[in-house]
Amino acid sequence: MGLAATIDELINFESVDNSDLDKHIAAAGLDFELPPEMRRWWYLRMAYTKRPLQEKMTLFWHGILTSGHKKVADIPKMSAQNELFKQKGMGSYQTLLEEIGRDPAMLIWLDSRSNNKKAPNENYARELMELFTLGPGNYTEEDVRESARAFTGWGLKRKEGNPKGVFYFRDFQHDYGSKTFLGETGDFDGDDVVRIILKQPQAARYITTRLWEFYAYEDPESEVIDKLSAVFVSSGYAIRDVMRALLTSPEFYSDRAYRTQIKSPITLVVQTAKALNLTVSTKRMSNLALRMGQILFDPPDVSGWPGGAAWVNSSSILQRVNMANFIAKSLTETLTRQELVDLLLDGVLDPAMEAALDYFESETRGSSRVGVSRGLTYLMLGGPGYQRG
Amino acid sequence: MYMLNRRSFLKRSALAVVAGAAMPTILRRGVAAAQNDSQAAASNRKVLIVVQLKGGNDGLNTIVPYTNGIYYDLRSTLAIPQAQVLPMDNEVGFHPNMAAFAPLWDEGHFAVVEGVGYPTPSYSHFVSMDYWETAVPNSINKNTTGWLGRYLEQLDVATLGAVPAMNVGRHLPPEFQSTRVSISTVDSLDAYQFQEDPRYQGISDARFGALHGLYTTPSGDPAMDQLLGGAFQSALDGSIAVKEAHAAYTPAVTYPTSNLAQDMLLLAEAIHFNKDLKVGHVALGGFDTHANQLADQGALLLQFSEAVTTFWDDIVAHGHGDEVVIMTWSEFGRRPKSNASDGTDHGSAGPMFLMGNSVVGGLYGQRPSLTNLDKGNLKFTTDFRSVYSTVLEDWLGVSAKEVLGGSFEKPLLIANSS
Repeated sequence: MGLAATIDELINFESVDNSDLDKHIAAAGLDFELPPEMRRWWYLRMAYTKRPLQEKMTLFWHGILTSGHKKVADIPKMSAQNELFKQKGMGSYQTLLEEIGRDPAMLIWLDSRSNNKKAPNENYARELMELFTLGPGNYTEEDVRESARAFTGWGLKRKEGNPKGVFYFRDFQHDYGSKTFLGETGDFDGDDVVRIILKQPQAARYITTRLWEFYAYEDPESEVIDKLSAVFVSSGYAIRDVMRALLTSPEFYSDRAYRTQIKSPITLVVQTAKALNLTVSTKRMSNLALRMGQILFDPPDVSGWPGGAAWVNSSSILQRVNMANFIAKSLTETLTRQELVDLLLDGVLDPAMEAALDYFESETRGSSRVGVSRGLTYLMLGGPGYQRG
Repeated sequence: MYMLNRRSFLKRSALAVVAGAAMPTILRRGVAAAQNDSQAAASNRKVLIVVQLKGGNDGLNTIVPYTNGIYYDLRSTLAIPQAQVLPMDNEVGFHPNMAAFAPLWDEGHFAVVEGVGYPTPSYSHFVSMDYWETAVPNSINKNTTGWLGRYLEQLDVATLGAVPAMNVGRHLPPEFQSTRVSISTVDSLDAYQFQEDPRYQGISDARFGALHGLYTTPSGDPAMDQLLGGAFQSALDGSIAVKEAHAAYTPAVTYPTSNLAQDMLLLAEAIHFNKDLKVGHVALGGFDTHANQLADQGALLLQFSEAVTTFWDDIVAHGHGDEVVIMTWSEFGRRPKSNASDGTDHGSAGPMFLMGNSVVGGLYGQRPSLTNLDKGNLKFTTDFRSVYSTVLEDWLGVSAKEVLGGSFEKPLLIANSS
C-alpha cells in the first residue's frame, strides 16, 4: 500500500472492520468497576485496534480536554468521555467543544455543576481558554469572569442508574444578563462563548500547534502552523481535514520529526506489546505505563500530561529499563540477534547499539543461549534509543 | 556522525561493569562516607527541604484572621470559628488542624510570611506555578530552568556528589529543571530499583555494563543525551543510596501512614546518610478547593502538619536539627469571598512557612487588607523572590542575584549561624 492509501485508511477509519477488537475485549473479562481494569480496557483497545488513528486521537483529546477519575470518581462517566473522543475526535472542533462543556465527567472535573449565577465558579471558563482553545495571554481576567457567567446553570441532574447525574441546564441558575467577552457584547451562553473563541485566529493556531507537538515535534516552525491553521479555519474546524494536512506535510517526514521525541509511556508499552505479537501480560503492561508516569484516566492535573522531556526523570527511566527486563524475562526461546533487531527495532541498528550488543555478546560467550537472547532484548528495549520515537 | 570505536566503548563501560549487579563503588562516595560521620557534631552543612502545597492553598483559612469581622463576612459558611482558631497573636492563628505546629511555633522556630505573591498575578495554576518554579514571573517560557536547578548549578557541579537533590514523587518538579544537573526523583522505595533477570544472574554484569555504555555514548543530540543519560546515572546512583539508607535507618518517631509522611521519611533517611544532599522536595496535592473546602482543606492541613512535624522530630532526634530548614509554598492563595459551592476560587497572595532551628520564628510581612482588594483579590505585600533570597543567601550561602537574576529585599528570617 502506498503512502496516500495508508493515510486514507488511517484517517477514514470508519471503513475499517474492527470487530475483532470487541472479541478480544470480551475475552479479557474485565471488571469495569475498577480503575485499573478501565485502564486495561483502553490499553487493549490501543493494542488490538485496526483503527490506530482513532485511538491516538482519543489519547490526544484525553490529554487536552482532560478529566481525571481521581476527582470525577465515576467510571461510567469517565468511559463516556472516552467514547465522546472516540466518536467525535475527528469531527468538528466546535461540536467537540460544545459537547465537552456538557460532558458529565467534565462538569464535575472543572466544577461547572456548581457554577451559579450568584457566585460564578470560573474553573471551566478559565481552562476552556487557557488549556482547550487559546493558551495563556490571549484573553483577560475580565473575559474569564464574563464567560464564567455565560456557563452558569450548566449542571447535572440525578437520574436512575446515573448516581451523579446527566447534563441538565439549570435555568434558574443561569445568568441571562449582558456579557462582554473578547470584545463582543450580548446575552451569551456557553455555546456563544465557544463560537466567539473560535473566531479568534489564535484558536486555530493553538490547537494545531498542540496537534503538531503531539504527532511530530515541539516548537514547530510558524509556517507549518500557518498552513495547518489555514486548513482548519477554511474547513470550518474539521479535525479530519487538519489531520490530513498534518500527515501529508513534508515537515512531518523531515529529520526533525524522526526519533526526536520521547515516547509517552502508553505509546512505549503498546508498541512493545505489538512488536511481541501481544504475547505479554496485558495487566502487567498496562500497569507499567502507570509506573512510568502515565495513569490513563488520571492526568496529573487539568493540563493533562506535560509530555516531551517531562516524561524523563530518574524514576521513569528506571521503570523503562525495568520494562525491558520484564520483557526479557518472559522470553523462553533462543532468538538470534538479527531476529531480535527485526522484531524490536524495525531492523534498524545504530552504531552505539551495535557496539553495545557486540560487547555484551563477547562478554557472555559460552553462556546459555536463551540467557543471551534475553540480555540482547534487555539492551534493545532498555537503551536510550528505544525511548525515542 | 559519531562513530563509536570498540576500544573507547570498552573503556567507557569498564566502570559500568563494576557497577553492575553489585553496583558498589559509585554511590559509596555519598553513602558510606556519610555513615561514618553522620553523627559528628557541629556539622555546617545546610539542607533545604521544600514542601509544595499544590492547587493553591487558601491562606485565609490556614493563618486565620480570627478577630477580623470582614473575614467572617466574606467567608460566611467557610469561616473557621473564632473559638477553634489556635492564636498566634491577637489577630491571626493557625487552622485548628495544624495544632501539630504549635510546639515549633512556641519554641520560636516557625516563621510565617504573610501576603506572599508577585506583581500582576496569574490566576492559572500552571502559569503561576511556572512563575514560582522558575522564579521568573510574568514571562512564560518553557525553556527556563528552575530556581533550585540554578542554585545547584551555582555550586561546583563536578563535586556535587551522586545525589545532590532528591524529589519524592513520580514527576520531577520544574524547580529542579537544569541543563547541567540531574536530580533523583523517587516515587517509592520498592519501585526505585533496577531489576535483574533472576535466572541468568551470571550475565548481569555484562548486561548492565553494556546498558550503562549505551547511556554514556553520544548520540549526536547532546540535549537528548544529557536528558536520558543524566536521568539514567541519577537513577543508578539514587537507587543504591535510597535502598542502603532505608535498610540502615531507624526512625526515632512513628510516621503517620499518609503519603506525605512516608515521602518525608525517605527524605529523613537521605539527610541522615547522604552528606551531599542539598535539597529535598515533596508535594501534597488537592488544595484546589473550588467546592467542599472545609472538609477537604481541613484534611490536607492535618496531613501536612502531622507529616512535617513528625519528620522534624525525627531529624532532630538524629542530630540534624541544625542542618535543615523547611520551606513551604503554594502557587497562589484563594479569593477572600467564598463562592456558592462552599469553596473558593483562584486568588493571589498567600502565606509561606519556614521552619528550622536557624529560623527566627514569628510573623513576617505585611498582612494584606481584606477591604483594599484588587478585583476581589488580596494585594500581595512580599515578593516570593524575597523569601527565596533569604533562603539562598542566609541559609544556603550563595548569591541570590546569581540565581534569581536580580536583588530583592530580604526579610531577616534566618539567624546568621555561621
